[in-house]
Amino acid sequence: MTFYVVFDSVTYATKAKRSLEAMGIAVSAGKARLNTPACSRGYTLEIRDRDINSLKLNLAKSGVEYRKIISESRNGYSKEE
Amino acid sequence: MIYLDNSATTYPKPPCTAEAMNLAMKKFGANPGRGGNPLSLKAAEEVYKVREKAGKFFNAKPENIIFTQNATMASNMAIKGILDSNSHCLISNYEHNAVWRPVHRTCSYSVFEICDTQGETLYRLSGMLRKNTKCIICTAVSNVTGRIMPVKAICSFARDNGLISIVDASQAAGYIPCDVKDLGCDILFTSGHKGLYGPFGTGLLVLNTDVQLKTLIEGGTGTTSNEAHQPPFPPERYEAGTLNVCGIIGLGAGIDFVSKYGERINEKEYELTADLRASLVEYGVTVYDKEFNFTPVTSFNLSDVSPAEVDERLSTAGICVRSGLHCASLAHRTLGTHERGTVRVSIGAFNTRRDVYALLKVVKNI
Repeated sequence: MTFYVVFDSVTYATKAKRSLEAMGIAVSAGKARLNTPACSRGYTLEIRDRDINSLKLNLAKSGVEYRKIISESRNGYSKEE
Repeated sequence: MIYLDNSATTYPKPPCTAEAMNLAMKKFGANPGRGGNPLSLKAAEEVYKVREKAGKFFNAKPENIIFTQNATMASNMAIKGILDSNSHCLISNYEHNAVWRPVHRTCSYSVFEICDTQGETLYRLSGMLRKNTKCIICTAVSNVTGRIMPVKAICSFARDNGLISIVDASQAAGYIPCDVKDLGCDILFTSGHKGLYGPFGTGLLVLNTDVQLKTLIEGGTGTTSNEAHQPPFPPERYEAGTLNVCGIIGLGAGIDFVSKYGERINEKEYELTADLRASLVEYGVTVYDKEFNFTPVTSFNLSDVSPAEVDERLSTAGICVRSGLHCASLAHRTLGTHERGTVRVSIGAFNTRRDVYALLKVVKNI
């Protein structure tokens, strides 16, 4: 399972990225591409193979507000968490 | 050449500032927050690291660090973001024109006196409040005399009276602690090229509370782009247009420099300034605000020679100082020097005792 955490701006995405990386969680940043309007997509962090609850907990620890989390299964099915 | 005008801008800058800017020019050339390509993301991360450094330096959240082109820009953003023609504000009698002029244009205002004691200052302030008083603005340090102002008490007074407090830290950042939580201010602003040893074209607006300002400039922010209005959240709300990435990264290096060596630098600057002041007094020169705590800024006048002439004599001897009103008419009116100004000497990290002696030698012979 891959999670895409969507943020309003690159600042908040970077803040969360640096915070999660400091917790030992591998993330990669990029422009949002799922279920978001083309011109106002925000930025996402892509995180693989994590438990959604622990991921939410870690994001809460980082103190960064995110817009939403979208999960994508290996067969390509995606949904908002 | 001896440079003693560090209040205008510190010079020279530490090599790390230029090196960081050079690296930024070569390596982080894409536009941060304007795309998902690796170079843009890398630039964004490098900019964010400077927000972290500045956030640590001022004890503020990284996202509450707003990059501006200078302190004047930040001051205008704060003042015009809060005040309007229906509101009233209080400004100190030591404010720089970067505060006085935008306030004068924007709202009604009263000038309060920084008295000899904190109690007297607050007592007078309390008598100046109006129904529509919205904020208090005070410089943390006078750019004319280096006098350290009781901003913590003034911010506390503002809070107790439901007012927004704005602190001008242009002459304070890098010289005295500027922890926004400790000061208790709502907003602090500063230049980046003075005591923080960053390059020209950098300034900071630091938000300590969730105060939301009206925007001064609108435009592209790389986020919420479908909306006609600016995003509601900092820093993007206040940073329309492409950022000065090289400048910001240079500022980050300057902050690193001050964070690492600041204590030692400040100690030396203080000693040199104290020696300078003592010698000037010994020569019978008038040193302004000498009875108060100070940063490494000294304003003086010779009784029978104009500041402009002293400046010229020093320039001829290869010593750079600044005479005149220092863009701070209110402060000079307070000191009674608004007709001709003063000679200002400001010491920086790279000045030595020899520099001070050279200046004293010229002054003694005038």
